[in-house]
Amino acid sequence: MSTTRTFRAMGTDCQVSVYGDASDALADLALQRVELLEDCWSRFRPNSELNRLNAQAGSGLVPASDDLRLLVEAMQAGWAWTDGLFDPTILASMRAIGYDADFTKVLAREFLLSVSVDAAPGMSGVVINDDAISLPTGIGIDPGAIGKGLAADVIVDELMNAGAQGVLVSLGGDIVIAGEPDDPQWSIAVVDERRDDDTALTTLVWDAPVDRVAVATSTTLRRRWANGRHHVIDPRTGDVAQLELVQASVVAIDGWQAEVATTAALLLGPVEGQAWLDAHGLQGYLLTADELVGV
Amino acid sequence: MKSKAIRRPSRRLDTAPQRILSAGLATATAVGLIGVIGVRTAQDSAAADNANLTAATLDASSTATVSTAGYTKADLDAYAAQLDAERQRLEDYRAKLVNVANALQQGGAVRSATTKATAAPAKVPTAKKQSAPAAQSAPKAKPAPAAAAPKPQAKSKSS
Repeated sequence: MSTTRTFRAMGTDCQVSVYGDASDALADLALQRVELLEDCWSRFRPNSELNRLNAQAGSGLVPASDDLRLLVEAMQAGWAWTDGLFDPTILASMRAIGYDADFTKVLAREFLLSVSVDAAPGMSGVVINDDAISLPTGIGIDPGAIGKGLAADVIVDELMNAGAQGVLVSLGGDIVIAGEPDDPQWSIAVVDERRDDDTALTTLVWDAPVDRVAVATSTTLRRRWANGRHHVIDPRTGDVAQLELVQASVVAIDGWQAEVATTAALLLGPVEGQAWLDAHGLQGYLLTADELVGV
Repeated sequence: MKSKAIRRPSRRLDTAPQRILSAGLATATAVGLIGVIGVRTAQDSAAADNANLTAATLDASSTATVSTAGYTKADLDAYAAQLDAERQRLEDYRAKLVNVANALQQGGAVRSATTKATAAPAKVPTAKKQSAPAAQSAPKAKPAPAAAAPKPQAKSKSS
């Protein structure tokens, strides 16, 4: 017994597949959970809790929900893990380069003036306690390179805890799986983003069941807009990153880790990026415009 | 090791704004700033493009005693009310999830996800507290040869 739902959320194509009894009810609940998380974490929903927090930067401790604190905890962890290569405090840069609205609106813009940006301030001044968060003055946080993976983690955890036999959550291609599907294996295709036809670079297979596996992909070849800008910011400069790699796909145990690791690998480049993945025991696929670097 | 600790249950948030307001006002008193120090308009907000909180909750036509951060008690009350409403939505979702979990555990037919949860939840779904990843790795995937690759259940791609 299984149920698959495909839908639009978080500005992208999403899929939830639930296996086992009650798959229909659990899939419905998964969609509700996506909506709740988006309401909390989106920077494109004016009244989201994240936007309210960002608007109160410098105000001291601001009451925060469990979900928002979970996001900011993961951001802090990712920032520390990557020595700041993943840095959600790039929000000012994101806005400055024109990624200040849902991507369909950004895409409609043909031209943007060049802008001046600063290095990202980093997460060191962010305080999280039992029921509140404090952002330093001038800091805004962007969930763009972690939120979908973390949301998939949350939903997979909750549905598995509820008794699902297996769950797959894909939010814009950031995928988390757990348990077992109806097949004896899980299989996830890693798309070669250099091509426009969703051709698989490789198909990854795991014997079921699995405790949990996540696969995330990031590329500079999609989400491009005026003047060839893309969404990967180098926090060391605050500007659009100049990268040798065009795609990083990473397998990790958590979705948020996989997402964070793709950003780190892209910024580090083919050699250092592969070394970083190896050092952290992560399976990755790094692509330049011409070749597959690591397997 | 990667923390697997279950997150602490959240405390009710409805008293936090008052605590923060009190702290803000106490600070203002100490530095002699207490009194009417103006109302910040939505245009003045540091994050003007995301200032709906301010716009929605700040009565720009009136003056009021404000905290050092620029928020009135009314602002903070409205903020607390919004948080409370969101918490209620999450609790409703969790109640439905527990209902399904209970039905699964009992092996009975699953009732509609919209019905109320039973009194004794089998499992309360919780998200993990996140901490820096450590050595724990995902199981290695076996890349399937292109010719023999199974139909994927999903595709990993950039959003």
